[in-house]
Amino acid sequence: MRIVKENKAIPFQEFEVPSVSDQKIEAACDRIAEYLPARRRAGSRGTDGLFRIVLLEARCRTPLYWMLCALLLAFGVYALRFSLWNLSPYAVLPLLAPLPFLSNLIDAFWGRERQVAEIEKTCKFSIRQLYLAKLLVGLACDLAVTAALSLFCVGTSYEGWKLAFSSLTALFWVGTAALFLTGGRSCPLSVSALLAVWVIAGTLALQVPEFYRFAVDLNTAAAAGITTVSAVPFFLKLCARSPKNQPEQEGT
Amino acid sequence: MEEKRLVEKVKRGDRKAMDALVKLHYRTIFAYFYRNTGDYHRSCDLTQEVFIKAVSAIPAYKNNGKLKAWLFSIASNSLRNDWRYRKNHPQEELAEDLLKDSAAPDAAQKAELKEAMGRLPPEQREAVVLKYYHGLKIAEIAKATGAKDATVKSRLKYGLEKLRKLLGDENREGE
Repeated sequence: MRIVKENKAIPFQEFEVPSVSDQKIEAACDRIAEYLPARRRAGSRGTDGLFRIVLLEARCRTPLYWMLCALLLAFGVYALRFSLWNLSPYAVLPLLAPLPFLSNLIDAFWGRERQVAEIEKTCKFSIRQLYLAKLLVGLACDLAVTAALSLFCVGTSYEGWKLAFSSLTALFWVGTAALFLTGGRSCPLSVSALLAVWVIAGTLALQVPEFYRFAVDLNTAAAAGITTVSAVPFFLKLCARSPKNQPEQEGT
Repeated sequence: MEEKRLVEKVKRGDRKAMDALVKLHYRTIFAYFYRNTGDYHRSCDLTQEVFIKAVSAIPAYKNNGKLKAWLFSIASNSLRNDWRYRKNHPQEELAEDLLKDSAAPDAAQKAELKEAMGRLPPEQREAVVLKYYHGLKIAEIAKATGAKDATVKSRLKYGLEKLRKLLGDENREGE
């Protein structure tokens, strides 16, 4: 402020700048436009276009995947309605709960070259968005199967909420491990290995009477608490895959 | 708000938005270069260079509503590179336009300030131009030029002292 006052005597306004014609600016625009980022569809970046890609992604699922989900559902219903090897569904269904999500992950990574790259090339979606869409489709399927099985508890001696919470806890922990293992790279083998480890370890765990009793006797409020805690790392990992958390240039 | 929308569109490769954005700031950036170099063609080239750099880097630009400040920081770097180039490739320093202006008797008085500005050390001239012609605050000038606030203040102080002295001397010579 002091400087401005001191220099009121300097006639700055006398330094005239020659005008630049509109034609000259337009000519400059033509030259500058050569450096413009490649034209992209409005909404194809960020989360606003995500819903559209999720729908597209759901349509791209192989019949085998849907069959697996249907099979799991049928198996779950069977486990609920009839005694399965004399095991409680509270112990068996959480073991099966993460399977749609894991198989979706495997499909997402194995299908990378055949499907994702093709879509990416033609539609200019970023690879991050496509992976996230695949993960969301898997998550939605998993939640739908879990919800359906919980509904089938109506009319049985089993408690729907408890079954849902137990299944979700398993899904969240195994899902977090899978997202951690894949770590942004295509690692179908590691997810396949996780799937195998989960099934084997789960089956073995069911043979341990203490663990079995714990799974069956756990009260609903405790199951809800454990589910809430388990959801935190899972959703943090999922959010880390969001296109908003990635450099903007990526995938162009 | 409008500018932010334009930036988002440019990020998606919208040519019309890019034209609008360039037209919005072209003359400001040109004036900055002209006041620093006094050379019309050089200023046009440098201005174009700034926008090419800006458009190329726009995907990484955080659209925080400070586009003008960002453009000035690119402009300041371009100007610095230009000074460096000219230092290594010496040529006639006094701009052609200024000589033309001084040749006309009516324009001679107006050209006094231009000439005095032309004699300022480049860093001081840049600080004076950003402060008194583009209305930037000390902190904004510091950010644009990559200097400390104190350095900017001192450049302004010495720049203005020298300007006053040069203008005073010229007036005395005229008398």
